[in-house]
Amino acid sequence: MDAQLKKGLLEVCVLVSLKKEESYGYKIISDVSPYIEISESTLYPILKRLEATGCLTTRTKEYNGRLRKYYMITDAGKKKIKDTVADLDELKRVYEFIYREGV
Amino acid sequence: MTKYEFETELKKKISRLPADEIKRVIEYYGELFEDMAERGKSERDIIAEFGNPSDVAEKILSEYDGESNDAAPAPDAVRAEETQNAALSEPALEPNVEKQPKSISVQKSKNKLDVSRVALFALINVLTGGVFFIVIGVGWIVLGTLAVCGGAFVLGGVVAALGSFAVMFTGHAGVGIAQLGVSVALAGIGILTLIGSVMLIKLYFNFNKFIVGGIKKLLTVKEG
Repeated sequence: MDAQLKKGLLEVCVLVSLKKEESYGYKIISDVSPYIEISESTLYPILKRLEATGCLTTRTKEYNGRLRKYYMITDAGKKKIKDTVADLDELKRVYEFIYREGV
Repeated sequence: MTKYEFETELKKKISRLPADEIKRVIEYYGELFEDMAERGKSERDIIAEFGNPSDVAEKILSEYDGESNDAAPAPDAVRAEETQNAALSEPALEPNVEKQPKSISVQKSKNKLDVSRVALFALINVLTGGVFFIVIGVGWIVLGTLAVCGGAFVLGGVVAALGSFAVMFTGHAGVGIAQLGVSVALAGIGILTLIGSVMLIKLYFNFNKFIVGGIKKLLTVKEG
């Protein structure tokens, strides 16, 4: 997949995995990887960028005697999901065209 | 490779980053390691899954450098994101995600010097008789002079102070003591001036760095 395309997709996939409840690194990777390839080293910059753009916040919680960083989606993050879902129909048409005529 | 070796290698390769960033990276991988180990994975398998510390470091460094260059996501990245999110409605699109041998590296927009802007900058400087550089240079001359004055006062003060003792011992105690007082005061003023000019020089140096950075930004153009 085109790298730029993939990067954008991954960001929203991560946000979607946080939509229902807060999550943490390993869980995000296992939730997202059935749908799109995501490794530990690709997730890190994505989380950084999402935090920098205000789409998620973090907090550290104790778990089993160690510290774990939890990520929570913000209103801005939810809006980002909504905005991209709004383009769904357009992309669907394009996808069907390419798939139908291009294959 | 052991966890310790991985962490040590990684820390070495990202050592130019600020300390808190390095800490964040190590904590991130440490946490992932614990979660994977809890689920029964062996140390060797986990480290193998993380990949080569050099590759991991390279990703971190290039992303960090990229982030410090742009304040906001590049417009084409945002557009690309929007078009791609639609694909989320079709999870069946890729039921089998192929495991690629290498994770796809994030594409960074490249910055390069825009020749036309550099030419314009050079032209402006020539036309104004290099006024910009003259002003910066004058700043340095003033600060340098200030520092030299400070040094001179200190030197003069010290010499006069020493001389004052000689004066005192040749029978002019009053004059000698007065001279000592004045020369100590002079030296004191000199020290304060020196300290002040050193601080100003540091400030001015950082200011120059800031200006140069700003000029660089104006002259470069993002592409990709």
